Amino acid sequence: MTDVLDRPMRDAPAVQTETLVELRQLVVDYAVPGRHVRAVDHVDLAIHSGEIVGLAGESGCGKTTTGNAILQILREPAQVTSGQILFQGRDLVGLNREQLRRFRWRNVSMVFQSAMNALNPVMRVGDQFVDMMQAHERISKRRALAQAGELLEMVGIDRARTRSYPHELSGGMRQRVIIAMALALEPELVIMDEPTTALDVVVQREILQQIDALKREFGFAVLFITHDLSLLLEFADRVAIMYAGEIVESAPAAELYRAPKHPYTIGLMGSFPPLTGPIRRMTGIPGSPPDLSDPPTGCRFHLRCPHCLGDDSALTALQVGVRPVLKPAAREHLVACHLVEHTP
Amino acid sequence: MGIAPAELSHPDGDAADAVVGPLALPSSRRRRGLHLPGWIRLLLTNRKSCAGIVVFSGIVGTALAAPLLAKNSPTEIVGLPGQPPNHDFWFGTTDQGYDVFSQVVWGARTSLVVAACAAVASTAIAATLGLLAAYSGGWIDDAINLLTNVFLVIPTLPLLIVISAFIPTRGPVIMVLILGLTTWAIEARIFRGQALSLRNRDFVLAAKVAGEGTWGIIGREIVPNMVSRLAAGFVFVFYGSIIFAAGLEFLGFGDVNKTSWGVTLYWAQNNSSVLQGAWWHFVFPGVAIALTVAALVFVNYGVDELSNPRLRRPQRQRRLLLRLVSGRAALRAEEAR
Amino acid sequence: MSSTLEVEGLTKHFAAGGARLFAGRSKVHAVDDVSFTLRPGTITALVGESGSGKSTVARILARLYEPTAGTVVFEGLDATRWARRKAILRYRSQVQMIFQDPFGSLNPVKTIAHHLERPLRIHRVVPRDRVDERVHELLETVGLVPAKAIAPKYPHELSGGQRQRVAIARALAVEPRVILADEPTSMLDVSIRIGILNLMLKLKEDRDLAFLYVTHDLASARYVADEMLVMYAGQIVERGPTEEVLQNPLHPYTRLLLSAVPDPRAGLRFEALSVRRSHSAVDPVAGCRFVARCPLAIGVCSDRTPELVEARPAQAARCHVTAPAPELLHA
Repeated sequence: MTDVLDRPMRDAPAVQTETLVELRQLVVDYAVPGRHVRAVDHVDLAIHSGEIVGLAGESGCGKTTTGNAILQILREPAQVTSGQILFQGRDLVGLNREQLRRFRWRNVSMVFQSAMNALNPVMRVGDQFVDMMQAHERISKRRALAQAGELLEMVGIDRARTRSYPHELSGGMRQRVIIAMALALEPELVIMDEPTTALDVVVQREILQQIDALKREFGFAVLFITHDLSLLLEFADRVAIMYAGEIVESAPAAELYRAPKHPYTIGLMGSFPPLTGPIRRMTGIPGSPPDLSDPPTGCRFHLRCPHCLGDDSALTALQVGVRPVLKPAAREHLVACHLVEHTP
Repeated sequence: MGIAPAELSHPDGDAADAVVGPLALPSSRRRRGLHLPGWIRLLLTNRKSCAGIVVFSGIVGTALAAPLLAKNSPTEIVGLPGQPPNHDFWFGTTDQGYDVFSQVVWGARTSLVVAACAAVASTAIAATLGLLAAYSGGWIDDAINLLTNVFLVIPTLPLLIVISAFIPTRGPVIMVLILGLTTWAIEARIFRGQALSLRNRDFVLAAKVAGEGTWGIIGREIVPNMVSRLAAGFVFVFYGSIIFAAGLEFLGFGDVNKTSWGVTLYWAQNNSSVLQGAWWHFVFPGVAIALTVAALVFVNYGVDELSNPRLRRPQRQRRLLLRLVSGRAALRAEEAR
Repeated sequence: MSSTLEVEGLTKHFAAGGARLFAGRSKVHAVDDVSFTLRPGTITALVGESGSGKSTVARILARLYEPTAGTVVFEGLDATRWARRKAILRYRSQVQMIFQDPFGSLNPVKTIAHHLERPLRIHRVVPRDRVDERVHELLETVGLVPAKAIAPKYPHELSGGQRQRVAIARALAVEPRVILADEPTSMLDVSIRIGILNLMLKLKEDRDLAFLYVTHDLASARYVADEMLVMYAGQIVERGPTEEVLQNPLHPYTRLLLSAVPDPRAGLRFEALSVRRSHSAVDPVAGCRFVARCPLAIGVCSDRTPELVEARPAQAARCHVTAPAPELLHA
């Protein structure tokens, strides 16, 4: 009688094939007169085809800005100041509007946090699919609607729902709709910005399983942006941790879970109370993320770091004065931390 | 195990929010230049509202300085009738011999004061009814809505004309009353809407849970969050009243022996100035009305930005005006941050 | 006077839009027959997903909604009966609330000091000349230092975690016995949440307060709560000591929740889940509301609404299969 979707244990991470997207020293600034906010500060990130890369961090760390930059949908006053965004080797920064328009959704698409922000509340769901498809290719309305129905079935929604309005669907269903829309043109990369944050835990898990199934079938890569690190440790192949506009650690998920090295990562992982095992008092991370218009000198985390002792040592001088750079600490495990660098 | 005291650090939130917070007005505490409250700076650095403020201030200044600027009495025959603008009479004379310039300058006082008082009355009625409807709900809300709808449906100018036609007295006071009692409906609807949305905000509920009474909530929580919307409503009715008052006076429903822009227009029409080619008789009062109304419309652009922070855009022009307004030191202080 | 808050049979129905011909108006059963007790020095977690009715329960207890049925007894009086202002004020001085949105729960055009002064003045907690002093004391209690610098600030000048501490300080101002916390950490950054949870624990211990901690996050509920109540579709489906409920869940919904939570410590896994079918809280039919999603459902589950039955000492569940009513066993 039990009607369950059986899922085997997840495979080992897919063999890295081509590099799909590469960010090289990306810098994104918010140019407000009088204040200068560097939201993304010389970020390097690579996403390979078929891979799920998780980008984790708290509010203000720049992860959403990074995702928007890849799709080149940054709005004034944000702008890409320097660096490269390479898609299959081609730099997106120099493209003109028409080239970008063709690139968006076809090669890279996006799933936003709140489906109600992405869906037009006064249009039927099917019509929104038609709208989107006709913007990218010559297709008749009938065929587009048929395809819309198929896409909905693919994400587990009855195809008759193409005639529904967004408000007639539950939160989980709406989120599936925009996932279906993001996959409509079979892009190579789907950027997901907090796609399940607004949903309850059970729906969240179902949707993630759905995404995993679709990924196996279509072979797209995913950049999964979220603050929920525990989710990424289960779901992603590789995880990058962002803090104050920089990537401070990057490693395969299993490795990161087993042996986190950056004090911020350790602190972050220590902020999730356990569901099993002993209950101990936890401390989280004292203080707040820094004001990006006036970031701390040297290592941006040093004011909150339990390993920055504020004494006269050479280490402290580095922590306060020199920005740490991402360096390999173990196989495929990069960390930007003076302590890690100088500890044998 | 204690808790590390929360640092006095800056707001977290998306990088964009760190730059322009939801209701954050530029803090004037840290600058070394002129000490102006945030809202004044915002009004002055918005190009449109700054222009509007300048022009409107000019007009008000002219009206205030009437005794100095227009030495001739507007109600006495001071020169040859029908003169076009010349050295002695900058705006010319009417076909009776009155000084048009004096009429415009002195008339500004009446027109502005009448419109201002009408706007105060209208906004007061709109705010009272709108807030009452929003906060009470139930049949009170329904009754006020019905009343509002009736007044909205009836076209304002014909209503004003009909009322004026029935009232035997003429004069500025009646004008204020009539305008105040007929123009409140639009703003009442808007105030009610905003009060309704505020009423269910968490901070209003929190005040309720803290024990705040109904009037305490309306006065301390709701109205302070509506100030800029109330201001925008006031400005709107203000310039609307200028036009309506002028219109009524033009049609003869004002006191034709007083001096105001509309009355001047009335006499211009009455004495067939158009036919006679005496354009100066009606063009100057007309321009005065148009200029004042346009200035207030522009001011409202700035006030709208105050009430809706999402409209605020960082502008390059702000830097120049910032410098003019707050001094070079303030600009440098701002840039150095 | 007893400081316990006893909730008995709490029910709240909202009218759903659109009257149907001949059938009367539809009703959303937001809360149905909810009973529990909040005791001093205890944190009780009310866990459920959005739409389960947990926030509605908290708001009824805060007297923001009037219940359709049921009683909330505090100090011998039923707080749901609309009473005179004096009685309402007395209740409000004893039962306070913390809201979910740290920015929305503070008036953006008023200073922090204002937020703390108002309850002090309304309830005359301290004489007029000591109000400022008490405001500073409250800020220090919640860890906002230096208090003198924070008091004149506006909400947008503080971080989310700091604002939530202000909200807690405001709730503490009247020296309540019961605090209703409606998802106080769900809109905060992950690393800040623990600080707020620790503050709640400290206040519980120092002041012997009773907390109702409404949340959808099982892990944080485990961290702070002594008792746990699990809500589904407006009903309490399981209750008991936190550890018992989490380690040996009775109700299938509790088990489903536990299997769905991402927990890195549990190791990497993809769990099997039951097929989803949506429940409707609008005019629910008789029978268990979880029946459409339940892997254990048997015949009687569609016919009779199960009662909350104590299947183990202090642990009760609303399930015909795992916590059958005694008379059914012998049927």
